[in-house]
Parts: sequence; structure tokens; C-alpha cells
Amino acid sequence: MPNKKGVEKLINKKGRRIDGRKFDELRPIKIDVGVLNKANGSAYIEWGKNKILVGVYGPREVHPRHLSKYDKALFRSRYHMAPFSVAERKSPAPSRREHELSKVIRECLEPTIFTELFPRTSIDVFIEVLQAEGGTRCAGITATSVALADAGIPIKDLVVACASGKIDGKIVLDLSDIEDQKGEADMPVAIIPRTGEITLLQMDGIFTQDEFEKALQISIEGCKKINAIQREAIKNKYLVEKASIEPEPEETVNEA
Amino acid sequence: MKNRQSGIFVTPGDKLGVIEEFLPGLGTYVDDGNIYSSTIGHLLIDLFKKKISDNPSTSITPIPKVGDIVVGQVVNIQDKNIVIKISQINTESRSVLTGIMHVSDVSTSYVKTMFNAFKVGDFVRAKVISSTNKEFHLSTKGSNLGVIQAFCSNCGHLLVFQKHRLRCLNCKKIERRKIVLGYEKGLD
Amino acid sequence: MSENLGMVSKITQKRISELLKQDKRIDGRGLNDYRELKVEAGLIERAAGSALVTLGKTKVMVGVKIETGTPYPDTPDNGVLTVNVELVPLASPKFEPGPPKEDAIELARVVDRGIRESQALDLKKLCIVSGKKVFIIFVDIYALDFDGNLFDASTLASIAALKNAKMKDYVIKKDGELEYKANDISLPLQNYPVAISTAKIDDKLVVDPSLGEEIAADAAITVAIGKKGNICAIQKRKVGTFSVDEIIQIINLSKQKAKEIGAMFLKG
Repeated sequence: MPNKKGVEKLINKKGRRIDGRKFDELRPIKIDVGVLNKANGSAYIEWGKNKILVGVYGPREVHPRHLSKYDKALFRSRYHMAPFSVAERKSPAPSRREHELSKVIRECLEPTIFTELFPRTSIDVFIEVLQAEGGTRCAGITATSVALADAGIPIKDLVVACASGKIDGKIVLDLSDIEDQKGEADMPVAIIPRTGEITLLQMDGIFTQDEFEKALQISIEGCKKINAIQREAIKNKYLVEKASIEPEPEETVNEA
Repeated sequence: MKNRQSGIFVTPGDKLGVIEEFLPGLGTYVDDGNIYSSTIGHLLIDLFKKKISDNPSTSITPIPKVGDIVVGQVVNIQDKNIVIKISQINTESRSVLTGIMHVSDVSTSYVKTMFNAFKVGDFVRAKVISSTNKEFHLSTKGSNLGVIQAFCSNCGHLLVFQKHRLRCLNCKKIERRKIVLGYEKGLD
Repeated sequence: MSENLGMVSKITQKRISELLKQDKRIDGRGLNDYRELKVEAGLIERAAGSALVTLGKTKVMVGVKIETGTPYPDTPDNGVLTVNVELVPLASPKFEPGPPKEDAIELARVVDRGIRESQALDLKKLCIVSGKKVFIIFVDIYALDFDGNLFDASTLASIAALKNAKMKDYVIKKDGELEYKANDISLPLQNYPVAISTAKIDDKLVVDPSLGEEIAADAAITVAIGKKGNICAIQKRKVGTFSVDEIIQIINLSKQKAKEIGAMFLKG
């Protein structure tokens, strides 16, 4: 990020943000499903300038074996940023931040997976951030749940994540990199859309309680919008594929 | 819910019905009395069996069930047990899983020790007879099960079945295995 | 903390959740009660500042060291705050020697966020020469005895140690070198964040979970409260979910608890 001299305004007089968005506007999001050959499931997400690739392997035999669980599948995730994904080269060795994110992403997605169906196996998720522009964990989570569905792993719902925060004293949705750095607070939230349960909640910055509640609310609304994009992406991939293989199933039984 | 009929496309988390109405089938789960989809697929309503399921569009890597025929390679032999790395389930290949076999499940006739029936590296066709504790217990009882490809324990060459014996054409060694009927025809 | 720290038997876990159905806890506390908390500052003379926090049977020691070094390129005018956690093997049979694992890293980063985001330390005042030389504050957290809720104990111990820390007064000479004076000064600490952890066990919320409760919990959350009851860091932990109502309830409870603890241990 270019460090310009002087204090930059994150919101202009017309109430628009640096990239021209309104307070509650998301960056453009595009999800592709099933982009990898070898992985059991995969997804690619472009969220603003974030470009993230997710691969899912499993259920497969656990290595090393002693980690396997007798009553459920071992769910592992690795969040990793490519050295070229940020302005200054990042060392490819996983940083403390990446360790923490791997952990929170795992804990965020595991409640939706029916791990008890696959004892003594592992389900491994690899999240590679190719380009980062703020909000990579949310984009990663959103893409991972799509990739899990693509892998055919039974899940309760598609987990969806979206951040909100405070810039120049205003509560806004989906912070970009510069807004995250210069803003006052950042709060990634992930929900299970069907039940509205919160499976990831992190925050740093300063919020009063009112601001917190408002931010949580717009995050959840943002999540619901992204959830529609997830489902659309899956539909695009599978409906097209289905149509090319066989015509519409004829023997539809209408409900009496 | 209004235009619910077989064939409509569903994604995980979509509500399919209620349990008073249908039995939850494949690819579904029940939460709080409602049936939801757990995989990507097409809705399948069986009005006779009152069953609703989600015919998955995705395929999960298969896990062996009891009765499945698997193919694998012997990786470890002890006197009474062998360990087999399963690489194929019902002709569908998958990433490796481990199966085990006890000496009593090798053949219908008496086998004293595993060393008389297998060698490390052999490819074996076997049947899953139990998945107790999620360990896959295998058996080669029956003429269509057993070693499908064996290698000479001396020089590593492929063993061929000639004159009622497994022979190594390279070093002339003769070995014993529990082979499948029609071993000489090679892998199918 | 992750379940691999677990050495509380399934029976104990079952007992915990059975008792909770009658709103009782295994150690006799009420749902919103904190364990006995003790803060002793300045035990380690070699460190610039130190504190030992005893929370029930959990013991956490924090040492603060101050050095000079170069600032990060993106914040040339700010001093550097580094928080590190060692889960020493003597604290629990499940802690192993070696580089910090995920649990330790998460703990360090959550404590770090609590201190940094509440602006507890005025990092601007720790700058010596812009872009060249700043003070680096090392906060080293040592878990000595582990009986749950390291997050709260570590944050409290870190703040107590920073409050306790003394450094030699100095003047900056023209060439950027430091000339130390005889008297001591304190670090530029401007407020005292308090972290409060709450665990959710079968739809019941318990504050300050003990080890058994932490393992039995479906989900846990740590909220750091800064001055004026502002929320300055949140971390949801463990596999499990919260509803929005529960979150609001937790925030209210955390604010109240943080106020009590702050008034007791961190005033003045």
C-alpha cells in the first residue's frame, strides 16, 4: 500500500468510500466451482482484488495415523498466503497470523460438516491466497464451504463470512485493505445462513456496544447476500454439467 | 417449497420437507423436525415409500462397505495377519486406505501361516467382510479372490503360473501363494 | 483451547453438563462468577516489569523487557509491541516443548490485539528517531500452571506487568543516541483493557471456564473491553456456534465483569 503523507479521508463528502462504494455495499464477488482436477472439491473466489483458491481432499486416510479419531473424521485446514500476494514479499513460511487463521477457519467450518459419517479419515482443506486485498479470511471461508459441497462432503449449510468495521466513525460493510489499516475497527463474522448461528466472530479496534450491534447486523445482512452468490455459483456449475450429460429427467412426480 | 418436485436442483441447507411428511433419505439431514439437503444434487421424492432424498450430483471418494470387492497391495506380513493398502473399490480407484486380513480368512482350507499365502508387494483381490471399529477386515475365501499379481521374493520378477506352480522365469524359483482362479490370464 | 489439551475424562464432562442443567457448576460457582483472582506484580527483578496472576489454579507469569531497535516500515513513528506465549511443559502434561503451536499463537495474538487495539500503550511515545530507532516492548507470557482460561489470566498479567514496568529516564542526543538518567519512569500506559472469556456448554453460558469446562464447551468467546466499556477485541474459539442474542448477552456480561476486575486490580 502506498503510504501517502497526511491523513487520507476514507469517506468523501458524498458519503462514498475510496473505491466508490456505499457504506453497506459489497465488493464484486465471483465464485467458480470445481476448478481443480486432482482435488476432490475446489473453488476459486474473486472478491474485489482478493484472489483465493481452495482445494478439498478427503475423506481420506489420515497421515500421520495416530491423529485419526475413532468416532469422526479429522478436519484440518491450512490457510496460506503466496509470497507475491501482498505488496511486500511475504516469506512463504507460515506466519503467526496464518497459524491463527488456519485455526479459526477450521473451527468456523467444522460445525457444519457431518464428520461423524467418516470416522478414521481426514478431510483436508487448503486455502491459498494468491492476491490479498483485505478480508481474505472471509473470502477463504466463503469459498471453502463451496469447495466442501463440491467435494460431495455432506454439510449442514454453506457457511458464509463477511466483515464489517468502522472507518471515519461510520459503520461500513466489507472493509478493503486500506480501510482495514486506516480504519478504527474490523470485525469478520461468519454465519450458518439457515439458522443464523455465528460460527466465527473476531474483532479488533474500538467499538461501543451500539456500534458493535449495528456492525454485527450489517455483517449478517452482507452474509446473506453472499450466500445467494454461493448458491448461484454451484447452480451454474452443476446445472450446466447435468444438462450436457442427459436431458431433463422425465419421470417427475408432481406432488399430489 | 411451493414447486417442490423431483428433479429440482438443491444445495446444502435447502429445506426439503418435514419429517411428518417424508422419511429422510440419502443426502439429507434432519434438524428440528425439518428435512434439509446436505449435498449438491437433485431432489428425489418417492411417494410410495414416502421418502425424500437428494440424489447427489457430486461423488465422494468411496469408502468400502461390507461385501465390496477391493484390490490392494500387501505392505506388511506377520505370521497371522497381513496389512493391505486398498487402492480400488469395486473397480473404482481411490486414495489409499488400509485393510487387514487374518490368517483364518485367507482360504476355506487351513493355512498355517501368512508367509505361505502372501508376500509383500503382491496385488490382492479381496472382499470386505467387516468394518468393525472402522478397520476394514478382508477375506480371500473363494476361488475368485486372492493374489492377482505376485512377484518373486528372490529377484522381483513377475511370477507366472505354469504347470500348476507359480514360477519365476528369471531365477527359476517356485513360490506358494493363495492365487485367484485364472491367475495366468493376468490382471483384468 | 483445542481438545488435544483434554485430560478431563468424559465422565467429568458429563457431570459438568448435568450440573449446568440445574445452573450449577462443578466447582460450586454461579454461572457468572469469576474464580478467585490474585495479581502480584514485580516478582522478577531482572525484568523491566513482571506480574504473576493466579486465577483459581491457573497461574500465568508475564515478564516485560524493553530494548531498542528499528520500527516496522509501515509505522515508522511507533514503538514496537511484541507479545509471545510459551506454554511451558511443566504447566500441563499436554504442553510439549518446541516452537509455539497453534494454541499458543492464537493466545498470543488475542492478548496482543487486546493491548494494541485498546491503545493501552501509547506507542507514539516510544519512538526515539522516526523510522530508525524505537523502543521495543517484549511481553513474554509464561503459563506456569494450566487450569483453564489462559486468555483472561494472560491479558490481565500482561497489563499488570506493563503497569509495573519501569525504565530509566532518558534524553535523546542529537545523533539519536540515548543518554540515561538516574531516575525511573513508567511506560506510557493510558488505559487498562480486561479480557473476559465465556464458554457455552449445552446452551448455558459460563464465565471464566475452568479446564474441564473449557474442554466440555461447544464454543468459547473472549471479549477484551477497553476504557469506557468499549469493545476492543473479540475472538470466538472452539468448534461451535453462538446466536446473535447470546453474543449480545455475552458482551453485556463481559462489560460488567471487566469493570469489576479493572476496578479491583488495575486502578491508579
